[in-house]
Amino acid sequence: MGEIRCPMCGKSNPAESEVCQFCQARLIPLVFSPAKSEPPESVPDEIPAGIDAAPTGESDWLLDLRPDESIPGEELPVDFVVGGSEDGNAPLDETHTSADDVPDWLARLPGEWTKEAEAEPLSDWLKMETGETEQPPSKPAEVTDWLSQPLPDEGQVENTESEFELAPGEFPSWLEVFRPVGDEPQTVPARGTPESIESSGPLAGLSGVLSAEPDHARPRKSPTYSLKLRVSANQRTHADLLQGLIESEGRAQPLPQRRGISSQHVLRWAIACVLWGAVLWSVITGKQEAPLPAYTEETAEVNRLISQLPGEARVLLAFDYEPGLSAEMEAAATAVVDHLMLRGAYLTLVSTSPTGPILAERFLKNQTGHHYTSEVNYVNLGYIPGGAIGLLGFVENPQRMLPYTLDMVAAWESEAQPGLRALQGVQRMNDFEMLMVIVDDPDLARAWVEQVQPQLNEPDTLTSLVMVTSAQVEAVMRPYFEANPRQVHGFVFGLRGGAAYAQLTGRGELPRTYWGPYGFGLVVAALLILIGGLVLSSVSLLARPPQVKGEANQ
Amino acid sequence: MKAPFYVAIAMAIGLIVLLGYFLHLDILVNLRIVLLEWAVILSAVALLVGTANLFYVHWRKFTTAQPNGFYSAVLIISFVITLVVVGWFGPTHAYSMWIFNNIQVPIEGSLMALLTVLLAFAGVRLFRRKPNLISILFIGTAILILFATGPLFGINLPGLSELRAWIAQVPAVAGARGILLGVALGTIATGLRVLMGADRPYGG
Amino acid sequence: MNQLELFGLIFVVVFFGLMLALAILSRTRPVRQFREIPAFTRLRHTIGLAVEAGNRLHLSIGRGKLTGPQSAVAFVGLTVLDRIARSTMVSDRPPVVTSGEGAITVLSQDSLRGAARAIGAQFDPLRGRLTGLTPFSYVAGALPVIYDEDVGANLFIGSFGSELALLNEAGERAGSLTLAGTDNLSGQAVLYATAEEPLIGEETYASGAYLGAGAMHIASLRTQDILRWVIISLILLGALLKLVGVL
Repeated sequence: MGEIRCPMCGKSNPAESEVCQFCQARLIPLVFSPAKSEPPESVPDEIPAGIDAAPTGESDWLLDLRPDESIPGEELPVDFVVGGSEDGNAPLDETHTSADDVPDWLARLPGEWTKEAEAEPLSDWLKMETGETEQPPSKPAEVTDWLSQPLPDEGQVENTESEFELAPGEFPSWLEVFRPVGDEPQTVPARGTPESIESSGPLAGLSGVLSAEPDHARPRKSPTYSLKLRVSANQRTHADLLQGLIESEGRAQPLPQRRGISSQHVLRWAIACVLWGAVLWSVITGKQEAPLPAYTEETAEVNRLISQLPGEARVLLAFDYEPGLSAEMEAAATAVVDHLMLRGAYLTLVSTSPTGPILAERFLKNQTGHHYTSEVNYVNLGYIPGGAIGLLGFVENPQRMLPYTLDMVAAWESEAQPGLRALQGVQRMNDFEMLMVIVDDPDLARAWVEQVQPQLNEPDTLTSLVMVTSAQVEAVMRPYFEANPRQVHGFVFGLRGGAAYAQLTGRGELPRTYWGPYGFGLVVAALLILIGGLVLSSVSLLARPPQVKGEANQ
Repeated sequence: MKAPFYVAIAMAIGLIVLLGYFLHLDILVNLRIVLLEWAVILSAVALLVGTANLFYVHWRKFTTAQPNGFYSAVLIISFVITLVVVGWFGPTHAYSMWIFNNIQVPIEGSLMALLTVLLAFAGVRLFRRKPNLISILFIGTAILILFATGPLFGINLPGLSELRAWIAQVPAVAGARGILLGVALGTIATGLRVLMGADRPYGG
Repeated sequence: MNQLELFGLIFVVVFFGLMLALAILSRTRPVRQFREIPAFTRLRHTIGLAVEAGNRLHLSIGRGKLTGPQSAVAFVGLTVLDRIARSTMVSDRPPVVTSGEGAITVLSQDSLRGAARAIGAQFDPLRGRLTGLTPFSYVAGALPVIYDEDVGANLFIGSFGSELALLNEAGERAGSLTLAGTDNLSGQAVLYATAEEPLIGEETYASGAYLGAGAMHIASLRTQDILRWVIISLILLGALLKLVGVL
């Protein structure tokens, strides 16, 4: 079965269709035969059935557009001629004018349709358009058939619209999303419906035509668009948050109040009271006297080296600790320096710390039983500026670095003066019999070892290097003692080392006085940390809210 | 224009000192000694500059009536008195020693005692703040050393002293060495960056 | 030149060459990401929060002398200062820097001046101050800064001893973040127990790389990583040879 393609919308229709099922356009054009047409004057009164009447020679396109059935109540225009149908339907327009009323110019137009008129063969281009090749030209009877055929109903129109073809006025789904709220789509009447039939103008009664008054030109109330935005709940939350932030910008925020007393304060005070109370109680009552600890190898070495010093030995004594740790350092060093003073050694005091010289003076003045006089038995050269660099400079050239004592007296031997006794014959570091460094900082201790070692390693050097350090320095400095060859010949570590040294020499009251309370304080501190830590951890574990099973599994 | 000049000076002097340490060429060694002496002098002057800055900060705090300006006034007065006394009588005079022995040493000693309490408090709280194996090891070692260092009421627990000595001589030393090696690498890296001019903590 | 000096010179030259090579290579190849250090993550967050909330940042560079090995960690502190000063100088409350050494104080003022000049802000020389010449007097002078100047975060990056515990405790009582790193062993032991965000060992020296101070910082950190493994290998090899009696 052949198909014919509509020249207007391009859709396929059955071959026998004269009108397109979709747009009502004529599929088979009207054929005009001028040789067999009757003169205009001989227009019959009645239009014979089946004849596609064009007595006045009107244009085909007008005839094409007129429907078979007339719209009730509508008067068709005078010039329009409606052809009858094969079944003898009366012409649509009962008010059809007779041939006498046709104007002369229209009557002179050729192209009278007769029953016997042979339709002219279709032009080639029309054949191509309609898909016809050798189809015989339609006869007038066939031509009039479509006019007499009723218009197809709406329901008969096959809506073969694919999913990508939209009905008029319909928006695709992706565009529909952007429609404002309240803006309802305006329905456009489909073609072929009674609403789409033209009601005025020369095309009145026809359907599927372009409206003489398009919808957008007709006066009507303009659609109202809602000003409301589509706001989701999440967007509303964010907007409220932003508004709150902006409003709070100008408001002065109250300063956070520092809590007066908290549980942390109470805990701190409790720990302080327990610790200090324990130590004070031990000092006041004296009930915690404990035997002095045993000496270790490094402590014994110091004792041996000092014992082997010759009389009136020259010893460089560096006081490189801070006033805050003077309690521990004085307790650790007092027995050692006491031993030195017992041997009658001349002491040369230096320091790389600004407070060192004063600490040295304080230390020596507190040494009871010895009457060491400044510039006689000892020399205080003062502060070596520049840290490690200054120390290096002092080691390489001590006279240049510290030419005067703390009291601005020329210290070194020169041509102009004999120099102080403690420094007679001393030009370099290895001219001293012993270097003793009393230090609390591991970095400073290492600096002393590293700067002094190159000179002490020279051949024929008998100078020994010993250190009295804080307990915190032990981990850093021990390898220097255990090295082979030893870089540091002896150590006294902290109060424990000082107490052990006091036991060795049988002298030194200070470490004995401190040892008992010190030990008691250590034990109390250890118990505090152990018990307090366990209690605090248990309390926090018990106070934690029980985990829900779901949370635990996450 | 200034920045490249500063960088050039820093790089040149740093290279001279570094090479002077390794290569025992007379010219390099002498240059190194001179430059280091200049550094020592500058360090001493910087100490004075810092002291002046300290004075000025507290002077301004006191004169502009800032919070706790009273303590700044105490500092200024103490500063002036100490400067006058020590400058006039000398650092080893009895008056100077009295200030040092009765004010500075006790105050700093008190801060050290406060540190003891804070460290004990931190030890108590450490279990709760960082409940992990490292913290347990940390606190456990600290407690062991505390018990083993003191006389422990005269009680001689067998093996406690030996354990303490072993901890102090082996794992503590090993850990310290490891950290010191890392710090040394970092120090070299920082020094080389300054030498190369990649790090310029000078010249603004 | 003795053996030790020769080895030292070779080590320094190798270190330098490796740093340079890695810095050049990083321009063409993507740099491997370093492991996350929570302290620096929190620091970046805290800096932004401090500017927004109008709090002050307090940076303390320690008491290490510029003429000693502690100068390296002081330079690290100055690098951190330079990085944060440019970010926070526009704040209502610019950062304050405390130190315990005169030369470091001068350098810190210099860094602040440079940062202020770079962004066109006014420089106040009192923002960089010396608070004390001994460790405890330095701490005693820094405590009022923490309590009285509305500090939101405290950064202690420099050479500190056990007195660091006093600073950390003050920061915690004032309700501000404490981030601390030092080269001193006693200080590191103390800050592990007292600081909120401790930097242990070499992590302090990685500050520049983690704060985006430049390609050379990253290159030097990678060089440290490489040479650390070399040293570990040498130590293990030496121990093994000692054990078998070769050495």
